Amino acid sequence: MREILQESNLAMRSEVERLIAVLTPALVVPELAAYRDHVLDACTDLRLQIDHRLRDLELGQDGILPEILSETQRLARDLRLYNQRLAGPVLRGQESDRLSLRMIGWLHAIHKETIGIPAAVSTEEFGVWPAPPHPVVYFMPASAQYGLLYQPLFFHEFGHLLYACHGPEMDKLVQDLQMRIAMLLEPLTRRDDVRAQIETRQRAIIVLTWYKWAQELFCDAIGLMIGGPAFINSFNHYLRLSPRTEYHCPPDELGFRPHPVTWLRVHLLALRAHELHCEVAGDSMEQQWAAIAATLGVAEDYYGFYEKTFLPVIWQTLGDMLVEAQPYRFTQQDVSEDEWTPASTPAHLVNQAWRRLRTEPAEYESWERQSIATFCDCPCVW
Amino acid sequence: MTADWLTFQSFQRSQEVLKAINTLSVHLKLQLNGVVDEEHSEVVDRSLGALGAFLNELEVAAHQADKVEPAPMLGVDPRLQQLVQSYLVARRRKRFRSRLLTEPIGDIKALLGSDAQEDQEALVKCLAELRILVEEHMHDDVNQILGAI
Repeated sequence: MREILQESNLAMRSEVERLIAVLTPALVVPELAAYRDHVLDACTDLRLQIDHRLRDLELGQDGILPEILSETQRLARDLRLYNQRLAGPVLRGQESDRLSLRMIGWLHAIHKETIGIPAAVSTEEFGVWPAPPHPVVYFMPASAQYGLLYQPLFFHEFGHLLYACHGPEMDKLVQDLQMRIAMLLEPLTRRDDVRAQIETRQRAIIVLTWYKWAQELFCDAIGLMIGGPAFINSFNHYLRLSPRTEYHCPPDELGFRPHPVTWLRVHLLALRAHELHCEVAGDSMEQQWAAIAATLGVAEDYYGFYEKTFLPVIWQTLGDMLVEAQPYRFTQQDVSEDEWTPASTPAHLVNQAWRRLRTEPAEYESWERQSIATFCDCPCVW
Repeated sequence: MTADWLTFQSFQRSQEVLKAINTLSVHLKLQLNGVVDEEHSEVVDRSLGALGAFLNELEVAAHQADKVEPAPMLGVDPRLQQLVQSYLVARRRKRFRSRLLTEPIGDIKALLGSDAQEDQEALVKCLAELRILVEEHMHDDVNQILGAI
């Protein structure tokens, strides 16, 4: 066993050194430098830990071989994580990554909990790996990364990072929400038969499903708070042609579904849009979803996973979560018709992009190209 | 939009718990055998802190779920819920023999800071079984994030 572990650790050490050797000279755009440094530090630390395991082996203590085996397996997983997933944004980085990295850099810089957390962008369906203090990887489809219109969807993903930064407090608020939904679901009378047991189980599934749903709705609210109408437009255009299950999901597929049915998200976003005085975008989105649902022949039904009676408690919880997270709130200037300048915010830029697309569609592409170039070249004032 | 955030958080949590388990376990075994552990005391202290925090989470969630009429674990992320369920099933089926699976989690937390040899020996056994639970639990996260060969 000792020989196997020694050989494996030595092989892993060589791999880590090879990774460090390619990462060190990798040229990255300035926005990715902190992330690259973090990955390099992590790989250096990995090498130190491997050396430590090799020293443990030299102690000749057979009693600790199970721990050294487990540690070697753990380090192998970490190495795979860096090799397969986290080194990629550095080694495959391009100049065109700067737009998304700057947008994310702004988000991290203006929230005190996320200042200094390095971030990278990778190409996949929208998503995020938020586990502070580890660096954050944001995922976005390739074509969306290089334009302005879908950048606001990062604001939703950033919400997951804010949730993680406030984990215990957020979990407590979600717990309260789940308890209140459980109370709303409680039957007026109790029976003691098989059917009652099935119903009890179904109520538990509904309540548990709301753990993830609450976080997703919170992230939608974060997206809207930061991006204003631009977030609604991005969300709407990206998702409105989703499969019919985003309008109506069969009851047996609702339990533990990672996201609420998107039509429900649309309603709650539209409601918050009224609160934030961007009801034009919100109402328009809601009308479009209703029109598509009608064409699909879909009737709205959440089969007990959402009822109108839930709305006040959901709304209060989301409000409390926003108070806890204290996200940036878009300003009047962000949604004004003023020309975007480097002194303004990225939120202003993406709102202007949507307005330009609608008012001057023929000139949009050249305007976007020029604006991205200006945005990427300007000194960061945030 | 994907829900990978939870898988990644769960993966990182398991990795950190395993690191803490192994660091502490090596330290205790060497100490019990009279061998000087070169690991810095602050690393061992960090491991103690990480394990204490993890056992707190496990204790709170298990308390919700382990009742005559089991209640859903509220305010607990679904992956941690699954780990808690594995722990409770292992307890009920008497899968393991250490105090981790026979006594309240609070008692195990008390072992973390003990200098008594008997407690340290008991803790080593608890850590070995906790490691098995965590390693089994993280299998799905590893496959989702890193893929299976």
